[in-house]
Amino acid sequence: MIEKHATTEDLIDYLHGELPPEADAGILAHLEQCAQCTALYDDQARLSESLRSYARSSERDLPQGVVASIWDAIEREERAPSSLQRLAAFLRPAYALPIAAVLVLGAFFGYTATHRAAATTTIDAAIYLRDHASLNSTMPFGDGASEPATLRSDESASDQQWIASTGTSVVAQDQ
Amino acid sequence: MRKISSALALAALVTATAGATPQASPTALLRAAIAAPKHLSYTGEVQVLRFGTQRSEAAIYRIEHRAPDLTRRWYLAPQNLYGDSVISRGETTYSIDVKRDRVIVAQDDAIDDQVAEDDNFAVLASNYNAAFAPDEQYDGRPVRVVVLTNKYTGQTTMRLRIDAKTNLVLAKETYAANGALSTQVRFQQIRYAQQIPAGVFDVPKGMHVVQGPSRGLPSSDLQHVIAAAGFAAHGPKYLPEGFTPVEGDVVDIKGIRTLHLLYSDGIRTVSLFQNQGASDIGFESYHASSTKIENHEAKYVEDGATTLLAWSESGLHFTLVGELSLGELEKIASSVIP
Repeated sequence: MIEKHATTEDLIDYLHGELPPEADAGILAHLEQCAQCTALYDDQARLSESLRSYARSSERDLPQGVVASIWDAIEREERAPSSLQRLAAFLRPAYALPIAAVLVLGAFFGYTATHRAAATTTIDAAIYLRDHASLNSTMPFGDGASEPATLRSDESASDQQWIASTGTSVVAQDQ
Repeated sequence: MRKISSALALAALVTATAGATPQASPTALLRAAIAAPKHLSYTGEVQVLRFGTQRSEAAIYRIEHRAPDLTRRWYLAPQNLYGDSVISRGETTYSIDVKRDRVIVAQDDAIDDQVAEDDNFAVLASNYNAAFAPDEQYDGRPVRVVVLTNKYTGQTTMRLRIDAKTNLVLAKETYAANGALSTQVRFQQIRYAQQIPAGVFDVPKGMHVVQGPSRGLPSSDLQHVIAAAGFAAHGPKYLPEGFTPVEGDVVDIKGIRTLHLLYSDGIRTVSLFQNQGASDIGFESYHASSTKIENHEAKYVEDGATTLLAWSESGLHFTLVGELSLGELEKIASSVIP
């Protein structure tokens, strides 16, 4: 637990979930006991919400003239010779054969490498069962798995990277 | 969500001290039971038994809970968890692995989602009849017994023993689709406490800190979640009566982008996972059996009340998991890509 008062910077980082876990826990414990820091935290929370509201209210469509000029530029680009057309002009018969040979060899080795890298990933059925149990625990009177998956002794920390919600941190490495 | 107002805390303290108001209807009592841990502090021992078809699991832990959201569970059994503990501080959970000298920190924003809690209770209330059974004594305390019966199947799905004075759930039994007991949770040696020292919930210092799973707030906007999957995803056209879409998420499982949709009737749930590409499902820890979903080979596992069914179709890999019979899961599976 943090004995001294939290700085404004700490509280802002805490508010946005950017502190490391230990520091995050320390701030949480401190806020529970410190009215002064809680007031500062509430101020920062209100300020963040105000900024978000302002940003939302400030969203505007682009003026029609700007949209039209963007479309004009796109059409002009399409009328100009494309990269493919320029490439075709470059591939005169004198160069075409050696370049084709290089491309064929490249495609062969590329295909082999890609298929070696894209080996099938096996997802254990237990992962689906535990993920289901995890969400099930949010239902009324749901209690999830009887044993916390994070403490199962047959798994290393790196095995625990099975779940990672979009937009949230996905870390499962020993620090 | 991390904070609770001082007014609410004061009201909670008064309620805990004076004892809860007796609830006239079973539904009102259920609502009060869900809210009880937010204003009650207590200690005790909890036994969890989960009866499987191929194996059963049991766990026993000491629990210390300080309202509204500090909880510590000290595991006494099974043997491989003895001495370990889990500290929950709101949405953050610290799993203390003594043998490995490490703390695994996990975040789950859904834990304290009041809106979702209200919605899920509404789903439960619309699909289940709640009725009082005769009052009982449990572990020396008077309890009210509430039985939840599915409105469509008429089957008893859950039985709760709720402390008549505090509204805390002291025992719970759930039943599988065939009527067999599937889980039993029993609270023993409960002692209500005015105050549990905050130090009980402190995370030990000096241990190796490991960042564990992190889950954001799942979305109830399933169309938005499906669009975010990054592939042409499908949802079931058939669901058992009372089931409704609850939430969804796009998760990364071993590097495979996977869409997870959850459907529920308030007690029973079914998850549909789907992904594409080079992945398959392993049944190393289970005895899997074969079946067919239309013309596609499928595998299934029955693990107590929970059934898992996996198959591949149209370049996508699907896995259904739910507290439903194999027959029901097969009907859902057949409707995903009719």
